[in-house]
Amino acid sequence: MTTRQPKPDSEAVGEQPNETAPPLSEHRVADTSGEAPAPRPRIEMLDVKPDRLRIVREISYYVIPSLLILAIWWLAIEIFDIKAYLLPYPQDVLETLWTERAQLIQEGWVTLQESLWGFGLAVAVAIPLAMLVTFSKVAERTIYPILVVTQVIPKVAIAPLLIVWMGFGISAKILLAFLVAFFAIVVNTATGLASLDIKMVHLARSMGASTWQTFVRFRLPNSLPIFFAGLKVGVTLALIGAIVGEFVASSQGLGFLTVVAMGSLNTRLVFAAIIAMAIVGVAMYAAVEALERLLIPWSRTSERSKMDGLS
Amino acid sequence: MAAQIPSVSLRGRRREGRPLIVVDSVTKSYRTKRSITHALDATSLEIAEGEFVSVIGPSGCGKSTLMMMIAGLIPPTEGRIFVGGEQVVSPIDDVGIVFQEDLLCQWKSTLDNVLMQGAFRDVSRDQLRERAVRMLERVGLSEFADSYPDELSGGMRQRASICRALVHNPSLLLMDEPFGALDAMTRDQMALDIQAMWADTQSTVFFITHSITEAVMLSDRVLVFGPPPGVLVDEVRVDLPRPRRLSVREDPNYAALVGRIRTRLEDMGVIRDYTTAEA
Repeated sequence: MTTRQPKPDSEAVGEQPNETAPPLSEHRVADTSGEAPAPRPRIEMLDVKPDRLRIVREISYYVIPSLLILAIWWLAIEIFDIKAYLLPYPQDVLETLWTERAQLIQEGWVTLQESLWGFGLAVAVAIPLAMLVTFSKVAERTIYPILVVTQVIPKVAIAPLLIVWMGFGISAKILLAFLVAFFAIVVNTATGLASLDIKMVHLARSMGASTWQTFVRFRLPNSLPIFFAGLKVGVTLALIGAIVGEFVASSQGLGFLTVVAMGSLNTRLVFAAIIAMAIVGVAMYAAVEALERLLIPWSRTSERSKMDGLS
Repeated sequence: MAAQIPSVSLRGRRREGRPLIVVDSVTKSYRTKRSITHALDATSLEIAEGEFVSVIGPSGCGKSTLMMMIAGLIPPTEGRIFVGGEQVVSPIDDVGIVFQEDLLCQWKSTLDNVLMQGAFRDVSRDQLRERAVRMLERVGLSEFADSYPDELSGGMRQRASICRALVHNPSLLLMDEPFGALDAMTRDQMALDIQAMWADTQSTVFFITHSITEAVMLSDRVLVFGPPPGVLVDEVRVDLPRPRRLSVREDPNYAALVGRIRTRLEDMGVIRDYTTAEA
């Protein structure tokens, strides 16, 4: 880990002018913006590229706390003399993660598929339903109560029923993932669609926009940030739904692996499976977040400008 | 002064001498579950072509309602409104509107926000673009043409929204407390900007405000509305020479006009001066 630190000293500037440029301009810009409402510096500031040091810093945000948790884990076992079948050593879990990688990947793939199908189904059903709820008072009054009731029923309670109806295969898990993820997506999509200022609608009409044009050009893009907030919650819930299904009855998936490993008190494998679940969940979440950045670049700049106190 | 902004002709509706807006005994009431709220009592007024008219009055006096009715966005309960000689029955298109909120699309750059005005209109894209660029330059936003609204300050955003309202060179500019969310110094600058742009475009302006000084500084005529249900109680003609600078505020004639409007509002109990009440 040898990372050269850009020095703002004069010698370093002569040696590596490109590397030291960003921090220097940042300083200069920060100084001038205090004096006058000069417009240019603020643009420059937003364009500042992350330097190498920043990347190291970003990574250390993840690495240091993780190492800390592993250290506490390890120390706890040492100090309290915890038995391995209750809590295995972190290094043993990591080892299992490696030796059982083929099985973990295979089962993880099943769980990922179930979650994604359930999530996709939830999105496909939620969007039209949210539109219906947004545009029809009758739909809102009739559909919402049903949605709320289906939501308050614990899914674990209906999981056995679904398995009786649909068998041990993948479809019952997809349905569970769908049921768990669905509500958050409907509610957020509907909230997003309703979030357009009524004055904006008036403005659009005065510009000559039809109802359809107002929807496509104003209401839809305006709803995207809240819609994506719903997707991010939904995608993590879908994974939970799939795993609940696997717990109840299944012949494959990470949930199944956990149940089997628990049956033989193979705690190491249980831990390895849990870590695999986390990896699947984080991967799905990251994918949604990447899509969000791609589709709504303006929301990212706004986050940054708010961080800098510009608006 | 910046270069003249090239004009885009949407409608050949310039009708010298005749009123652009005629409001003929218009009332508006809203029916709620329990009662009927009267927002505006029988109001009649005329606004001439190219006139800058301010409307001042307490909150809830129906000023905004009247503006929305002129724009054809909500129908009057009784009475008729004519704009350019035609009765208003649906949203009029030869108009630009500015609200207190800038209402810029967060997902569009400043320039694209201004160009939104032409998105649904039958206008030449190139002409509109040229005008948009010039107008942004005029209000000092050239550097921010490609920035998202979130990267701009409140005053900058409102300037962009005024550019959007004027980019298609409408006969009528409707503004509902456009400076309401801005700080005092920015407001002063905005007033000067509006005056300059108005001088260029020769639009008729209907300007709602809560600031007496702003109304007198900008207007040819100030309409004073009473407490709800709103009704027109006074009309004050402002004959101060143009273009007006901020220093017009030290002019005794200006002070007299401000005083007259303030007195009207005090008489109606809109502004309560406790020192005189005790005397």
